[in-house]
Amino acid sequence: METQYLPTAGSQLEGRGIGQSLRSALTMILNPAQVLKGAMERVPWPVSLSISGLAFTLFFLQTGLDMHRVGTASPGAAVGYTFLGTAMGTMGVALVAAVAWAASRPFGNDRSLDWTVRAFCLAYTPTLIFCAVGLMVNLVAGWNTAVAFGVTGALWAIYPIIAICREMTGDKLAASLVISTICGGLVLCGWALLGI
Amino acid sequence: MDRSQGERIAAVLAVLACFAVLAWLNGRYVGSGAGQVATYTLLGLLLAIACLAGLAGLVLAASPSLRPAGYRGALDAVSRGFLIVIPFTALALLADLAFGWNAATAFVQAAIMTSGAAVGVEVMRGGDKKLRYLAVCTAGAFAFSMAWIGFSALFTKAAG
Repeated sequence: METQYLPTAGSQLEGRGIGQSLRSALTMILNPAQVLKGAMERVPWPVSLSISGLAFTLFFLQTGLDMHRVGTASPGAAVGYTFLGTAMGTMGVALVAAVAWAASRPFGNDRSLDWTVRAFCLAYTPTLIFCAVGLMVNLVAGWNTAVAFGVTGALWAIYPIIAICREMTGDKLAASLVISTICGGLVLCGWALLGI
Repeated sequence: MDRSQGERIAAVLAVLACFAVLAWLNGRYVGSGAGQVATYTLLGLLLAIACLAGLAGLVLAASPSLRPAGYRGALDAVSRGFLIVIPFTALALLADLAFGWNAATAFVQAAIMTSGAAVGVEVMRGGDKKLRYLAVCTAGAFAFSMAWIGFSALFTKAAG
């Protein structure tokens, strides 16, 4: 019997459910189409939102630490960047997902906006992994890691995003590439405007 | 020339054009002067051609479902998978030319590795559903990305 998830259920992060959600998140890195066609429906939105939110929180924290290290940001500004990252990883990613959802409507997209937002948030699983490792390197070795780990991690999200766009456009590759380029560009512009 | 063959050629040319642009962007930081940047771009493009051809051979050897279509079928899967370098190239141009970030290497590495996974998914779409095909393609892409890093390091050393 499958575990049922309800957005308001307090027990949804327990037991088998969280295991399935994590497995779906990790599968999203290399084989996103498999998750999108099946397990996506079983990943609750708090898990999806936590992944992208935490990914960008760590990304922007590293940006703040790098800037503080080179003397272009105060400790308070570094903390401020961290909160900006949280906003970017939740509201920002949701907005980008909404853009992709709207852009794919003319291609016959029948997926809901809720599904699209959850899928986009889950696409940032590789970003979370890169940023977690980058933060450790930043703190332990004292290197500047925002570009090497943060941007690289954000780039790794493009592949799942292309798969999401293909799912929404009925496997139209050219349209998917254009929409995912716009989405990736919006995220890069967001980081450039907020983080630098 | 039928339509599918035209699409196949267009896909290969698009992928090669993207690698030429990525090599040029990378070369601006690795080499100094127009001559070195042009040399790096040309050598980078040749490396990409060699690696893509090698990856197609690896895919063919590892995937029984592609054998009836032969090397051309494997090359088709590789070129379709590597089409996702297009967004990476566009974003690399944006990052470099608009924001002035020296991140071309990060774009190249991410583009190659994720494209490798995409090739694996293309092979699995063709009938081989086993995850080991995904692993083989990702490993091949990892070798490609390591070759690019090695090439850049050697070029930097040779260029002085």
